[in-house]
Amino acid sequence: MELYRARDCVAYDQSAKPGRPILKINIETPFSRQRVELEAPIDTGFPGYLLLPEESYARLSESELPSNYFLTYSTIQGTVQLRRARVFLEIFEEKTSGFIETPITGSGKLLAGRRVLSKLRLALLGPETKTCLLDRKIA
Amino acid sequence: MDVIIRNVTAKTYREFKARAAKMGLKIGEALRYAMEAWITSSEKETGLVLDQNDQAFKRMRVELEKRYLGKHIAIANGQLIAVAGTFEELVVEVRRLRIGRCLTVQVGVDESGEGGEWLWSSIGQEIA
Repeated sequence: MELYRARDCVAYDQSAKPGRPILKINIETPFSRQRVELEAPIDTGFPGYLLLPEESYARLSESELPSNYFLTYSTIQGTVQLRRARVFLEIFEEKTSGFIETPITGSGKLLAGRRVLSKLRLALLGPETKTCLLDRKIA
Repeated sequence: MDVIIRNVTAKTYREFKARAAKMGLKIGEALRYAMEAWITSSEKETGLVLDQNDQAFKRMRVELEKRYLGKHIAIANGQLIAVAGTFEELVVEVRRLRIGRCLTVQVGVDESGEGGEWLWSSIGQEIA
């Protein structure tokens, strides 16, 4: 058996029915060091990074990648290509470089996808309605 | 990845091979660039509008991959403005140049292409 200790937790967004697990994410732009704190719903169905609405992306995409490096995702409604820009992300006080994304066409929305989640040891505690960051296993 | 392509005419292949050799490219490299150029030429249909930095990157790409593979580069106003070993070093250099917005990439290393399957989740009404 592996044991992990919950280090830090954030309550589910109870405005959604049923409550929705979220991550508090600080985005820092690389050049102007603009900082924005967001509460992003966790979406394990989205394979990408941090999806943003178009207007937020426009403000924070100081360091966009060339269009050759925009990722294309296959969806039930066809393929979707997302613009992508590098930012610094701070999640549960852990700072890392990562990416924000938004659709080339369409409005987008706020979502934390699997490429962000795969860097974190997270537990979704349904009955307690909170998302917790876990420390490395303790036994 | 490796692929096998069928139904290429001998004449087309000969001409393509000769053109690649003239440019100092291996067949695989030339074919990749040709595929990407074809994708780019159809990008207007996807609604993607390319800015001058993106167009500059496309022009410089072969040269950048030869000289700076694995390095982080920045392009602003259609010009290569900085090259660094890490993104953090690149940021320092771009800040020093007082440039607030530019195109950056880790040449040949950053992920491209297929991002994966977007499962039935929050995509419904927002993206389509």
